[in-house]
Parts: sequence; C-alpha cells; structure tokens
Amino acid sequence: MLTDAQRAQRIAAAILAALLDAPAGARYRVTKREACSGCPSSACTECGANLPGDVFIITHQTRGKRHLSDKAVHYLGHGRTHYETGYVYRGEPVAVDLNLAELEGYLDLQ
Amino acid sequence: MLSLELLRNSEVFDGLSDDELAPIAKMATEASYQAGEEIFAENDEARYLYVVTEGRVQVLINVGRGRQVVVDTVTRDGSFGWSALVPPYFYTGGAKCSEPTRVVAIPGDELRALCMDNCRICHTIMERLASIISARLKDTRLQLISLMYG
Repeated sequence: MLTDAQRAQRIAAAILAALLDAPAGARYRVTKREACSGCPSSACTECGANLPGDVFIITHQTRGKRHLSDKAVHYLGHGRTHYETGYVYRGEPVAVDLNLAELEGYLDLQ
Repeated sequence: MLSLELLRNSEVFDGLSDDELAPIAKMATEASYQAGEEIFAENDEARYLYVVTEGRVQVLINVGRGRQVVVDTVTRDGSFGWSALVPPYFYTGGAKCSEPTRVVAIPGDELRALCMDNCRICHTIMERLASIISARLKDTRLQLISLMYG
C-alpha cells in the first residue's frame, strides 16, 4: 500500500517518463508547453529548483486533457500535493491541493 | 474557495493549469436562478463573466419594437457575459434562464487585473473568448438571416 507521498512521486515520475516517451500501449501521452520567456520564473521552496512556468499537458484517450504546471509536477516529485501558487488574492496567498486519485486516473495508475 | 472542477472543463478556462485556475476560483462565486429569470439585460454594465455549471441560459438581443430573439443557448461548461472583459464593458445581449440554472460568476475587473499580471492566463482566456465571440457572431448572423428571409 503506497502512502500519499509515494503516490504523488509515482504520478510525477509517470508524467516525466511519458514526456520523454509514451509507454507502450498507454492510453495517454504527455506534452509540454514552454513558459513565456518574458514572465518571471519561481523557485521550489524545498530544493531551490528553477520553475519557469512550463505547462505539462496530459491527453488521455477517454478522460480528455489535464493541464499541470511545472510547479505542480515538481512538488508531486517531492511527495507534496499542497503548494502555494505564488498568487495573492486580497492579501491571502492562493494555494492548490492536488487530487491524487484524479491525477492517477489520467495516467492509468489506479 | 470554489472547486477547481467547476472551472477546469469550461470553454473559457480550458487550457489553464491548477495554479492559474486557483486565483480565478478565489474570486468566483456561485449563483442559482429560476427558469425564466433574467441574469442581465442588454446594455447593462458588464460586471461578471459567467460559466454555466448546470441548466440552460438563452442569450437574447433586442431587434426593435420590443422584440427579442435568442441568438445562442449556453449549457454546462459554456460561458456568457464576455463583455465583462472587453471594453466598453456593457453587455451586447441579455441573458435569461430557460430552466433552473447554476452559474459561476467571475468579476470582470478582478479577472482583468489577473490577466495584466500573467500573460499566459491572459492569452489563454482571450483566445477562448475570441472563439466564443466568433461563434456568437455566426449564430447571430444566422438568426438575422432567418428573421429577414425565414
């Protein structure tokens, strides 16, 4: 039985692997849209990795498309599902909570 | 904060990541309307962009002598009220529910401010809006042709 952190890491690994080469027989593929060169990048709060703002696009045969920021995929790699987006709305930082089961569905990991 | 699920598959926000949807979900509110209820009228100040999450909304235009024609019907995940993002910020048509309807309302001024801060969000939304406006223009043209010759 995997922990949530392990499930998150498995999702990140599957996305990055599929970006390089779609697994044989997979019902999904992953592509990447490069970040805007004029927009500021951010850094991982854990390891300092540069996160330019690229977007990963999972295209699943039956579920459709799912867009994830490089920040989301990076934090999944750290085993995290909760992170701050960098946006501030009415003085409060805006955070995201990723749903592991939903993401696993796009990667046929369920 | 509103669930991102309500926005993720909408025609106007399709293509945004969770990071980009989250601030929009923060500023959005949900509202319910009864069948026959008007959400806004043509020429009203355009304060909100709407996404339908349940039900059906008719987009109407005045054609004179107190008559209105339906130029489009918006259903789940569809959008209306794009004038909230485009100057001069007055609705070019009215919106009326043809059945009990739930919508997400996003304040136009706050969404425009977000667009000013993030060119990718802005580009994605404006690209979708252009597509919606183009389809609406085509539907309106067909309606007018049918009024003239139908």
